[in-house]
Amino acid sequence: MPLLQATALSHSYGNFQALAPCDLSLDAGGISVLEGPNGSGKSTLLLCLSGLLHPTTGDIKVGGFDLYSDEPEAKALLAFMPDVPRFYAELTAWEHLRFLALAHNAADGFEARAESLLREFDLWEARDLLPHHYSRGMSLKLGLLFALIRPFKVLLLDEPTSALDTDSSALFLRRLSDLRAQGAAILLSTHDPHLKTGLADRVYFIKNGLLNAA
Amino acid sequence: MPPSPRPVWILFRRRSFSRLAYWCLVLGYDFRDRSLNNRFYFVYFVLFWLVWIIAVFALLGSTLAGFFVTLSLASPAAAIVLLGAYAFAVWGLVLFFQVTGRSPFVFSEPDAFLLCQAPVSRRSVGAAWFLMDWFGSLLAFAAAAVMFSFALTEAALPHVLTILDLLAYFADALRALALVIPLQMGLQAALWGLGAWRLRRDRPPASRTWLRLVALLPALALLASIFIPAIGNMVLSPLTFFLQAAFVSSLSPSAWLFRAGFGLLVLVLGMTCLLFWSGRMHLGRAAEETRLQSRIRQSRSALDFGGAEALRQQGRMKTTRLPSRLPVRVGPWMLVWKDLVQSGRSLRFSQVLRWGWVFILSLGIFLAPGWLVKVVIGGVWAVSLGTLTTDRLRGDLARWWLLRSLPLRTSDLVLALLGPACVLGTLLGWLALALVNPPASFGWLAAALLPLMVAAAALGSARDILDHARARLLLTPAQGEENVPRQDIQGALTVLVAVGIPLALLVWGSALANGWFWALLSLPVAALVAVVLFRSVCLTYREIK
Repeated sequence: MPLLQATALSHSYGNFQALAPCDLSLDAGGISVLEGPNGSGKSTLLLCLSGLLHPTTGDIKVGGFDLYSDEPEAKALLAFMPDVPRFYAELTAWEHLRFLALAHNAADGFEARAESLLREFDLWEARDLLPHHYSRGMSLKLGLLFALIRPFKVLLLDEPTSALDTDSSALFLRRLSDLRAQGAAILLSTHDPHLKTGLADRVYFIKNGLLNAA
Repeated sequence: MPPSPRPVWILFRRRSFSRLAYWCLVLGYDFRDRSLNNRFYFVYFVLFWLVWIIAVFALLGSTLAGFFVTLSLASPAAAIVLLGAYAFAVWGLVLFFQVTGRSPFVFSEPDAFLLCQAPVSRRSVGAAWFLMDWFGSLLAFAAAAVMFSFALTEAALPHVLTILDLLAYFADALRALALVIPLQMGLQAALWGLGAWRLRRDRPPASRTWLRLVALLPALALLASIFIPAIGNMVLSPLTFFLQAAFVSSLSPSAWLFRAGFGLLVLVLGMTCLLFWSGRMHLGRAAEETRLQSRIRQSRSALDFGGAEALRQQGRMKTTRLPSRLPVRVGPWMLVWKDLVQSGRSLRFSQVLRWGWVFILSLGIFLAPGWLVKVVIGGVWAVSLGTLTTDRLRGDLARWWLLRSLPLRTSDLVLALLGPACVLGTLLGWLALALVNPPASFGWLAAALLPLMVAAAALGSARDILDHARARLLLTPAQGEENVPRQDIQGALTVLVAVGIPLALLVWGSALANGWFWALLSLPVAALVAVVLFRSVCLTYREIK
């Protein structure tokens, strides 16, 4: 059974159909890449799949749980990172991680896990920094750590490498490979050709709201 | 080759003209229209606003003159001089505090890259930036001077006002402005000069602590003068020396000229100080210090006050924080923990005032005479409380990607988001109730009803906000919470109905001789309203499109 299954999913902004009805499924241990020109509907699809944007039609199941009627169970399995993550102005990076880990009932071994992740992504020295002092690249890395600090089965990423330096991109790719090996289902949108060629098990192409498997 | 002042003054002219054109457009005149009709219209435009300004000031002056009569002031001019001296002193101290904290010269991002790195005349930058800022701060002083001089002229008129008296009005206003403008400009220039001195190129910035300690003595003296007038006479005498010439008409022409001359001397000294020190100013350091301030100004000029407040908040919170030591629990309690950490770090005086206002209204409900007045105060209390208790919800909605990704039941989430503020509102209500000490039976009933009414106010307001929230808007990048709806009239009405019905039942029932049934009925009614609203809020949250 796929970890994420979307059926007849569509979304319209008023009369404008941003996403035509489509089916999509993500299997365990697979990385799917979503590509398409600007304004084609990539972010809309990811927002619908993550439950942040209510689809106009369609059903989404995560690990067999309906994203809306079994929301807590489905959200516990799903992690999403937007292209421009926005943080609480009053909490530091460390406190954000703590907040998310404990909200997801992942308190055991939090400190060691958080330290290891922050060091790995070169954010350890900035752990007590308030987020408005973060660069865009640092914000993206912290957004990614929000997903990694707690357990999940499905990971959705919206242009995750758009502001990362070369080293961070390489680290990110290694991390994605590890997650795939651990059985996670991953869908990411990108304009980066290296991600598609080096990592993707499956490529989706979207244009004018129409989703096709490439 | 000496650095050129020309680029600075070109920039100054462009910006000043652009600002003038903006305000003219706001008031109804478009500079871009170069037709003949528009030139004739310009004459009408100028005359209209001139007459309007004079009429408004005459009206304000007349109202003020009426106050003089009501207060039976022995010498209105002396009172105005004292008031003006205090205003100048407080403004001067605040400005002193500001210029010793950060550069008074605020540079935008393009300025920082283009102007501050270029070999332009620092002295010209200092003068141009001062002039661009000065005019805005002068307006308040000039308006007050004209209004007070009009009031004094009217109070001194021995007969009913005639058109011929306008000359006396203008003459008195000019006399006041001739003193107030140079004094204000000179003081501001001197203080900006101090700011430029702090930013001098050849040394690191002077320590703020000792600079601010310098201002402590006059500040304390000013505070003491409220209680000991003799100290006030001494501390404020340099200012009253000028302001007497501005407002006391019995001064001889020679004495007036002497003081006006001193006013000009203050101006010359202030400008000299500014020009001297700004020539040695480190522009890069000034730009670095004012980066946030320039973004706040940009947000304000775009009428994005929420964004400007969010930026100010960032400035107040500094750079780093040690991890909070507040105890934590897993699940929805994390939202309460987050709320407490956020509240502790972003506490502002204005928020304390808002809660204080709710407390005063809580007292008013119990102390006001007559049930109708109580219900009206109760309505204001409910709407104010509804807005306050949903502040955190709005903040969290602005981080929609984080909030909506939490694996929590909607009911737990709503309780965690609104709960802490509701608890505070209830505690304040109980405190007010304890202070008022009402009859025992009424008191217990009111105490039991209070949490339900606080919850109804919060839930009514939350329902309205969630009903108007749109996921796509919540996901747009924003500085503050401008992408999150506020409680509108529909929400206020919901809150009024939700709180008004049980409150009216309680107050009315208590006022009746045998109204116990109605008073007791308020409890189940309030509980029913709260439950219905709670379910509605949960449903609305789940259904945000």
